[in-house]
Amino acid sequence: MIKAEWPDKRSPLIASLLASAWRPAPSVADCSKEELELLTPLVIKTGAAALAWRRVRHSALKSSRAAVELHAAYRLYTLRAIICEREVARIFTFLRSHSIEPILVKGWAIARLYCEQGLRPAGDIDLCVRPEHFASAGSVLKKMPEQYWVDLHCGFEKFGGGSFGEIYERSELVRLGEVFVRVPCAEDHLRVLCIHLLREGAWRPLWLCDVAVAVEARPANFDWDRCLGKNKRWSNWVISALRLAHELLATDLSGTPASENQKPLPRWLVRALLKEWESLEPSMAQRHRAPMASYQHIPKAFLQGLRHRWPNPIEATVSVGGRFNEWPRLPFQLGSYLARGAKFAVRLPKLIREY
Amino acid sequence: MQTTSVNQVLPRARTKELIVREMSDEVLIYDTEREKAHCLNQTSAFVWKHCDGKHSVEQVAHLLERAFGTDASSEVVWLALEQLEKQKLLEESVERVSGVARMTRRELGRKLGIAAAIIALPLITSIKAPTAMTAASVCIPAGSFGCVTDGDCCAPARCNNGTGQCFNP
Repeated sequence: MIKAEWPDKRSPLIASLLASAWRPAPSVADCSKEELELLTPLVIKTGAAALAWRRVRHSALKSSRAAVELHAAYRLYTLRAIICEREVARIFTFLRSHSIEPILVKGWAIARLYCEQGLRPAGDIDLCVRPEHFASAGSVLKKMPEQYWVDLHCGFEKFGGGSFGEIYERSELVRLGEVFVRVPCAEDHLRVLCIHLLREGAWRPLWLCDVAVAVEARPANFDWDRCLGKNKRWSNWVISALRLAHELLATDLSGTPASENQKPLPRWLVRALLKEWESLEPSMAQRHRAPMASYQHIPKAFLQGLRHRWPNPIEATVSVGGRFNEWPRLPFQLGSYLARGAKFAVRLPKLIREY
Repeated sequence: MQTTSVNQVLPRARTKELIVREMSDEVLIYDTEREKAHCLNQTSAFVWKHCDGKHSVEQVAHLLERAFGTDASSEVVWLALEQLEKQKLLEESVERVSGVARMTRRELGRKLGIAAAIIALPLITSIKAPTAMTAASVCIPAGSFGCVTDGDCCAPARCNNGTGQCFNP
């Protein structure tokens, strides 16, 4: 559907390639050899190569150069998944030995719901800790005999907020080898995944696949009221993310509040997402390459940095606490940009001293 | 490598410091000591799994024949052993017993003919090491761990190859 509406773009082809790829027996991808070659660098770059491989491994394209690359990435992710599991287990054991109980989000917490190990690669390890444990958890992690790429979060502020205590109370312990790993309950985790996707401007297709997997693998007693919360914005954000997953990746939303909402998604939303997926180096990714302060003596790079920091309409909406509707996005983008600029200006003297 | 009284080679696979994942038609191995990853095809994997210090090369060849339902000479096992040894996946080096000529993969394929079409010749391919960065699509910020090269770190940070930590120069 999306592919036909946007015939000259790569991103609809990505959506078509990844649609249903997480399911136990996905259908064979409907794409040509040339299209697969075009998409392969994009899906490798964004961590969706193993999912793409699942759609072509039983097709006539399986021996093509592009498919061989996808297969290699799948092998790599599979080994990485095993290593990541060991790392997660070690980190939990170590933090617990210092009386800190973290909650793992994204990464292995969602990868475990995919039907095969290695379909969902994990880079860093995202851990949320009680705000009062945030500083000590950072110090404890530095004392570990082996160091890992941990992204430590102070509560759930980055993932839309919510009381850490309440999320902790509802969290679950999941067995990982000899260790039990604490993950949010299915309801909280789906909300976290949806808000994270939107907050980051939805630039990685893999994050939309995560949403699709979380919703399709939800338990029978899934409590939508708990997931959507009392906050109307959360509800709008989660439902928008679910409907994006449905529209782009054919996610099954039957039995969800998103299936009852018949209003079409704002057209700018799908357009903005497809624009992000179009590029090998979307602005959001480039932004992570270097902090603005590091450009202080390179005017050209400074201007480029400013350009990359112009928020896409999706992240701008979440950043200013807006809703996904048909209203123009420019005011949201301006508001978000100015707010971030003001925060940066306050921190600038310290940052200049550091660089 | 152990030998019996009749000078039979009893190869033993290395198991320590290895992460092994069996896939449907291949085996993935990550050597955490050397930070190298390998992909063993079915034949190499079969030989590697039967290198238990109890089976001789001839016995492994016989098991291979039974498993794949075709003639597999001990040459196939020797070729696999040589590749496994090269990738440090055996406990000890293996030496061919006298009278057994060394053969390349191509020569062996030619010699086996139809059998080679049924039983894949041993093949071990090296793959990129599965670092955290291989699964990430953004750079690693200064202070965090997991880098292999400077390119893995967010500029201007650089990678400390010893610790794998990105640091600001």
